[in-house]
Amino acid sequence: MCCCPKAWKRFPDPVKMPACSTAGSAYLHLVKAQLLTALTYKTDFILAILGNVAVMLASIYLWQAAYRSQLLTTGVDLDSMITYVVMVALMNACYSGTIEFTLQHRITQGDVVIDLIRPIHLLGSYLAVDLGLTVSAFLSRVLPMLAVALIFFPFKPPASLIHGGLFLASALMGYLILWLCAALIALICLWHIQLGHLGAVKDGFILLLSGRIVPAWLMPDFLRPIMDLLPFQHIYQTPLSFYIGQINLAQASLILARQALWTLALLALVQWVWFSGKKQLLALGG
Amino acid sequence: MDSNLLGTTLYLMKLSIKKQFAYPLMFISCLFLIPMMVASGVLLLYALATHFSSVSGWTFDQLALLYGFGYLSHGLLMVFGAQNIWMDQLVIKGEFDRMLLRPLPVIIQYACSNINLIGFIDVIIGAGILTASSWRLKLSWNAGLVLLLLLTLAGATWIRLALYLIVCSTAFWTKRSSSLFWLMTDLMERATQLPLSIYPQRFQLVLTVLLPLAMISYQPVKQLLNQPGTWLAGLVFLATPVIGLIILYLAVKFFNFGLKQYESAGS
Repeated sequence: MCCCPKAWKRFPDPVKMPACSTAGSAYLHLVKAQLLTALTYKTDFILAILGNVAVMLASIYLWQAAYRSQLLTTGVDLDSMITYVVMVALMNACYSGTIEFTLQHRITQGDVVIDLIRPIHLLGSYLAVDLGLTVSAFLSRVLPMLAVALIFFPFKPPASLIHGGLFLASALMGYLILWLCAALIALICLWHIQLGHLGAVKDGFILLLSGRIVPAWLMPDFLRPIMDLLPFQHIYQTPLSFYIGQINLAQASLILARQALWTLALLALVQWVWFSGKKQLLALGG
Repeated sequence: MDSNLLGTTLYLMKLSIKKQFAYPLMFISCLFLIPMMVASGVLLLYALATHFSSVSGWTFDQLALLYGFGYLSHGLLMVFGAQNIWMDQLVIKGEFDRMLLRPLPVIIQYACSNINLIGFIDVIIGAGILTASSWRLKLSWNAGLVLLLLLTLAGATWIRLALYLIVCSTAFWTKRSSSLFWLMTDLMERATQLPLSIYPQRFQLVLTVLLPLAMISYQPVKQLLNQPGTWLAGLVFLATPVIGLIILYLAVKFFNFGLKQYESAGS
């Protein structure tokens, strides 16, 4: 089998779905089960921490080296840039999701029919599982990385308490946008069993246009209109712009509204695709 | 290597290539994916170059040269070493059983099990960036320099293959090596596509002596650009393949040692 390694990284083990009596406790159970599973492999999460810290440190050293040379155009100061880079690393560690692989795997194996007869919404259950992963990632990776950043680098708190609150709201919507994009890709499986690396192509767009690698204020001018037309900048750039105070409070409501619109639009699209795809689901295996 | 061994090895490589055409969508999606991944790296360098005068003394074209050279050896690694990602799965599923039963060294079967054509996309892109940046830098090439560069490229690829083989061979004991694989991937990306001079001295020492990642691209490109302080000047192009061969030999030894600890999954 030939594959791109970066795409392989996104394929963890499939999630086992439990049987629960009430829908509400079912979602919480899924979150807890995924949290415990992720914490079982201690070596894995220690190595994941090391990897995330290494990537964070490399980014910080790169920007420090850049700022030591002459700054040609105005931008944020070094401390804000370091804060931005650290927050990207923390958010990236939190943005863990298995829906793409899990749903594709369960459709191709035919196990999705078992998920469909359960008394909980299928996509809701996958979201609960991914939230469990996010919580485990927060505890096992984000906190150690945050400790390293606070001890060794000039990591700044949010520009103000209000900016901090706006950041949290925006980051939550950013997470949902990312998850919904992944769900959309996964739902294509209902029509085409083999997706190849379509999900990784989506990840490539996000890498390029979300502000994760290069903040928007450093992007070439020809890319900025493209960023504005797509939802990806609301995954990293928008929340982080709130955090470092780049967006003033007067603009905040408009930007948050735009982000919320994208979230709702993607949610509606996912629901429609799921509803359409369920009708012609072909269950293999058995 | 006798003719039977060579013939069997080439046949295994041919089978490995043929099976990849069973899923053409994988290949087609990588035609979009890989350029986008590269574009994000080049975009970062471009952003740095347009907003700062240099990065640790490296201009955009010099950074692009380093990036292209690093990406070339990365591409060759992906062609010949991609199967390392699944080493732990091969151990868990007992896939080494049939390799052990065949009259061919396991390391050769393992090395030929996945000749990844998609890696050639990385090679072409890396070569393109290297060519464009060396043209912009007005580097003068001659036959001898090209030969040295190819030798260095081979050495860089051997270093990468060897390091991956070592970390993934830990699967023979731990049964899980994917986390180590990704940690090594992150380290290699940061050490081969960016100048090491951006890191503190102690990290540079680790990445030169303990893990010879500096010999993959940073030191050879520095020599090519005649940057001051190149104490390995003149010897770097030859040092890289020598180090690559030594570390590859050690990696194969470690793999064979790990294979002795291998327990079949049974049936």
